[in-house]
Amino acid sequence: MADRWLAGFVLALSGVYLFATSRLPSLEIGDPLGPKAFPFLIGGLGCITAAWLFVESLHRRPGTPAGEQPAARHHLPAVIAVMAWMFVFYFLIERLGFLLSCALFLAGLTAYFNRGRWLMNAAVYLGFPVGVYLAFTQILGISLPRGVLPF
Amino acid sequence: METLNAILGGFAVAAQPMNLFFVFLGAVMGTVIGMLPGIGPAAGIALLLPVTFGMEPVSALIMLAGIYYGAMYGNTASAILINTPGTASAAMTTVDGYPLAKSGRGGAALAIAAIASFIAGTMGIIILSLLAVPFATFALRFGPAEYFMLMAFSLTAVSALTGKSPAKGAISAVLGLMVASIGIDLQSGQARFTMGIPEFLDGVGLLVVIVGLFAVGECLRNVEKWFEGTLQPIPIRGKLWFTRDEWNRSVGPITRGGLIGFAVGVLPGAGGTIATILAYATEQKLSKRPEKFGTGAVEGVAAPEAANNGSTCGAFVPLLTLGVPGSGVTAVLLGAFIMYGIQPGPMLFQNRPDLVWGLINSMYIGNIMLLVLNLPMIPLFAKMLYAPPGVLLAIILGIASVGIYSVGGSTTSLYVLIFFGAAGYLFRRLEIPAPPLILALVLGGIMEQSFRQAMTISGGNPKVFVGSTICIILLAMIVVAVVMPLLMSRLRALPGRVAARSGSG
Repeated sequence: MADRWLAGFVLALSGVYLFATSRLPSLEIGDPLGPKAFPFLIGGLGCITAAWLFVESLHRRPGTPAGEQPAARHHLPAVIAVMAWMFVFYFLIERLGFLLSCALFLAGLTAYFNRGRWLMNAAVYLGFPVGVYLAFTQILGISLPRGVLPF
Repeated sequence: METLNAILGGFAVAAQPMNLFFVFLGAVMGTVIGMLPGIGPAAGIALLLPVTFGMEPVSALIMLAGIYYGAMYGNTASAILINTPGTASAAMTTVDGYPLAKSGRGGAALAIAAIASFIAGTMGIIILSLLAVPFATFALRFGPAEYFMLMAFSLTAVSALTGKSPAKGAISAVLGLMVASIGIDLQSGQARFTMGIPEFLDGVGLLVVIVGLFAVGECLRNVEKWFEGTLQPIPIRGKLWFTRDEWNRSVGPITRGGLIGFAVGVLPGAGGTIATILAYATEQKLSKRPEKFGTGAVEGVAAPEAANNGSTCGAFVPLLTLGVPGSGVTAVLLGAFIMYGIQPGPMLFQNRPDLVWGLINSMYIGNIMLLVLNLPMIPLFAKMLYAPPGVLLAIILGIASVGIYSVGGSTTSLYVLIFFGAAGYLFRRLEIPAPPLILALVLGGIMEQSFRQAMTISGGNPKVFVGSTICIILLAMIVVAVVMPLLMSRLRALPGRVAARSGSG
C-alpha cells in the first residue's frame, strides 16, 4: 500500500516538475534544445517510473512483504524530535555561536540517548565542540561563528 | 614505455612522506568507518570532504580512496563479532563469520578476512593498473552521444540492481536528476527550479545531499533502532591466526573471490554486495562440503571478503578511465574530483599521470598498512563496537552539521541538510535505494551537457544516440540492465537461502 502512495507522490511531483519546466522562459540562443528539453525528459521519466512502481505493487502478492522483515519498529515521534532538535541547533548556531549551540545540542542528545552516564556525556559535549572549534579555526583555517563568546 | 615511466612516477608521488601519512590516515579512518554499522564509506567520505578543501588534491584523493578500501577491511569486524555488517558489502560475511565467532574461532575468521582482503586488494590493483590504459585509450573514441549513452547505462544499471525494487531504484535516479537540474543552466544562463532560494542558483550542493541521505538519514533510522537495544559484541577468543587447514581451504576462495569481485566491480550497478553473493555462491557450489556453509565455514568468510576488496579496485576502472562512476561510493569520489577541479576520464591519464598513478599506487601501500593495522590491532578497533550508540549518534550528527556549515557558509545549507536527512530516513523506511540518487545528482549536469552537445552536432536529430556501434552496444546493455532484475526475481523465487540484502552504500 505504501508503494502505491509513493507512486502517486512521484506522479504528482513529476507533474509539478513538468509544469514548472513549461513555465521556464525559453531563450533559444546557441543550442537548439534550450534549457527546457532535458527537464521535460526527466519529468516524463518520472511519470514512467511512477507507473512502473504502481505495476510492480500490483504484482506483489498481498501478505508477503518484500524481502526481509523490517528490522526495527517505527518510533516516528522520536525521529521528528531529533530533527526538531537539529533545527534548534541550526537556528542558534549563528546567534549563540558554534561552541555554545553545539554543546547544547550534544548535551541534549546524549542526556536522552546515553542516559545516566554523566561523566562520559560531559566529556563528549564539552570535548567535541572545543576540539572541532580549535581544529577548524586553528589548523584548517575555516571560521565558525563565534556568537556571544569573546573567543 | 611512457606508461611504465608514469607508473614509476606514481610510486614517487605515493611515497612522499605527506602522502604516506594521508594513506595511513585514510586507512585508519576507513577501518573505523567500515566497522561502525550505520556509517558507510559514502557517508564517511562525504563527512570528511569539507576538511580536505585546503589539501593538495592528490593527497586528498589518496586519503579518500583509503577510506573506501579501508572500510572493506573494517566492515568485517562488526559482521563477525556482532552479526551486523559494518557496510552492506559485508552482509555475506555474517553468514559464516558470526557462527565462527560463536564457536571461538573469531580470531581465525578475522585473520583470514584480513589476509583475504589484502591478497584480493593487491591483485585488484595490479589488474586495475593493467586495464587502465587500454580502457582510457578506448574511451578517447567516445563523443558526446557515446558519453551520454554510457552515463545512461551506468545510471540504469545502478537503479536496477541496488535494492529490491528496480522501480524504486529508477525513482531514486529520477529524483536525483531533478535535484541536479536545480540552479542556473550553464548553457543558457537560465535559472531553473530554484524555488526563490538564492543559494540554489549554484545548484544544490552535492555534499549536503550525500551527508543528509547517508549520514543524517542513517542516524535518524538509528534513533529507532536505539529503542530496540544493542547487540553486545562477542569477545575475540584465541589467537588472531588460523590453522594450516583453514588456510589451505581458503586459498582457492580468496583467489576466485578476488577475481569475481574485480569483474563485478567494473560493471556499474553491481558493486560489492552482489560480488560477495556471487563469490559465496560459487564457493558453496565448488565445495566438497557445501553443508558446512552457513554454520561457520572459513571459506565462507574468505570468499566474500576477497570479493568486496576486489570489487573496490574494479570500481576504480570506470571512475578513473571513463570518468563515469558505477556505484554510490564512486559517485561521491567523482564529486570529490570535481570539487577539486579535476575531471577524471581518459584525458586525465595524459594530463595528470602523476595524480592517477600516485592514487593507484598509493593503494598498494594502503593495503599493506591495512593488513598490518588489522591483524594485531583489530581487537583494539573492535573496542569501538562497545561505544554507546547514543554517543555515536550525537557525534555523527555533530560532524555532519559542522562539515556542511563550513562548506555552505550559511544556515540555509543546514536546513537543506535536515530536509535530505528526513528524505534519507524515508528512503530507508520505504526501501528506496539512495545510491542511484547520488549517482544521478553527480551525473545529471554532465549528462544534460553531452545530450545537448550531441543534439547540436546532429542538428536536433535524436538518431545520433544510435548512430555508432558503441552507442548501439550501450543501448543493448541498458536494455539488459532493465530486464536483468526481472529475470533475477524469477530465479530468486526458487528456494535459496542466499538473499540479496540491499544496502546504502
